[in-house]
Amino acid sequence: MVLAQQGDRQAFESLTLAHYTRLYRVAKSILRDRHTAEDATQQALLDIWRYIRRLRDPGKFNGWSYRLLVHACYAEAKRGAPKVGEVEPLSEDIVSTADEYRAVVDRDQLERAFRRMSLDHRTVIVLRHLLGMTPEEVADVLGVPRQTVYSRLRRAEASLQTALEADARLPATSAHRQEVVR
Amino acid sequence: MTERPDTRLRDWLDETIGQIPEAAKGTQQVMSQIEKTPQVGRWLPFPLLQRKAKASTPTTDHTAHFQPSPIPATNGHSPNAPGRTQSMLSPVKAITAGALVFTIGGMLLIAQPFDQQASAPQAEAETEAPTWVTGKVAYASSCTSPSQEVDGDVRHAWGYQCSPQRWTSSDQRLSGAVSYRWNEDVYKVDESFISVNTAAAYLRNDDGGWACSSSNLLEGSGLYPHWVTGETLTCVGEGGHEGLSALVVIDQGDPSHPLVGLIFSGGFPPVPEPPAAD
Repeated sequence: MVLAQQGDRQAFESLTLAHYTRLYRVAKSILRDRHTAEDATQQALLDIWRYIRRLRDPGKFNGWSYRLLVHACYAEAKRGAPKVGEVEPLSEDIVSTADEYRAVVDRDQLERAFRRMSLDHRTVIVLRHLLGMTPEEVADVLGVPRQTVYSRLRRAEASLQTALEADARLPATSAHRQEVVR
Repeated sequence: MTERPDTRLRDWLDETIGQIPEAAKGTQQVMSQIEKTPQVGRWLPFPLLQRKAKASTPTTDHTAHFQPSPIPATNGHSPNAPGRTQSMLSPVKAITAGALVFTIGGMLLIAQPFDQQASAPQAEAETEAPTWVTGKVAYASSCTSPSQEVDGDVRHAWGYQCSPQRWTSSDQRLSGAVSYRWNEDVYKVDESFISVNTAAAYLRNDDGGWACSSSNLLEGSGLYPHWVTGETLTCVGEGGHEGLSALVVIDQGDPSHPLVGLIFSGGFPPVPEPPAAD
């Protein structure tokens, strides 16, 4: 880390290799699109290179890198919706039992509900539930007050619940399943 | 649900990440763009401060270079390092100097009129002294967008508002809740959008407030633009801060939005006169 801060490219290459997957997982979870997530991850890593000298405490690298990643995700999302055909629908072919079908439908409902949420809400959900961050840590990453995180989480979880309930009342057709809402 | 991470959500998020691209390939793509991505140094506003910072953080080489050479011990005695382990003054000289300082100080105090002893003119001067401020800006959690109007090639969007922003700085006078507002005109230039905005930040705290303004050039528009430059705000004190001015510079390109500034008495220097016509 210190070497990368001094401009050592080999050191930064090792740093990038070590953290690429971690950052991509978060970007993909927020953006729901593989190509956009890859772009956001790469942009975040370039921003890390650009600003790494300003990081005073190397122990805070992970949180700091998530902050840059979230910014990159916002920028990528703003640049445009994913191209048609890049959605990854769930396959019905592999479903054999009623329980498995139910599980597929559940996951599909979650996907649609999640895509309907704002980027702010998706981000807090991912940081809180995928990474297991505390609301304080989420606030630190997003640079917003802790109360804002609490209120965003509450609203995000409520809207997810509402969308799931609304979705459950609709027939789970294949066409419906592939709908994309940003 | 916010009490602790939800396992169903976590499992679903984890499952739907799908195939992760090769880190090596992604790294290669990042490294190919490093050439045209210069590193930004630690953000210090003036080169003078940067020089100081460099001097105060010696590199390994410097440390090795400036290590004091060991003092050889001779005749089995520990070496003495004059000036470090012993006083440079003899006890008699030290006592004499102390007594002299005490006497002169006492005489000056007695010579001062009693009504002046009671007041503290220096304290007043200190509160008005120019103060260097560092801090950061926490963006507002919500913003409102204005209605927009297209006028030929220009899109006018007046009435953006984000509040409360929070400025936290080393000086309480420049800390508090901020209502940040701006109007912008968006121009289409070579297939991209460039915004010219006039922004205002109204800070309020227990002692008073500040009215700050800036004009900015941005790529893109709206709530997530790319700042071409940092933001320089000229601020005028109000209420308890009346009579004070401040110049505040916010690095909007840095995700932590650091700010530096100077609080000073009086106003800004006047705009220079135009050159005399020939």
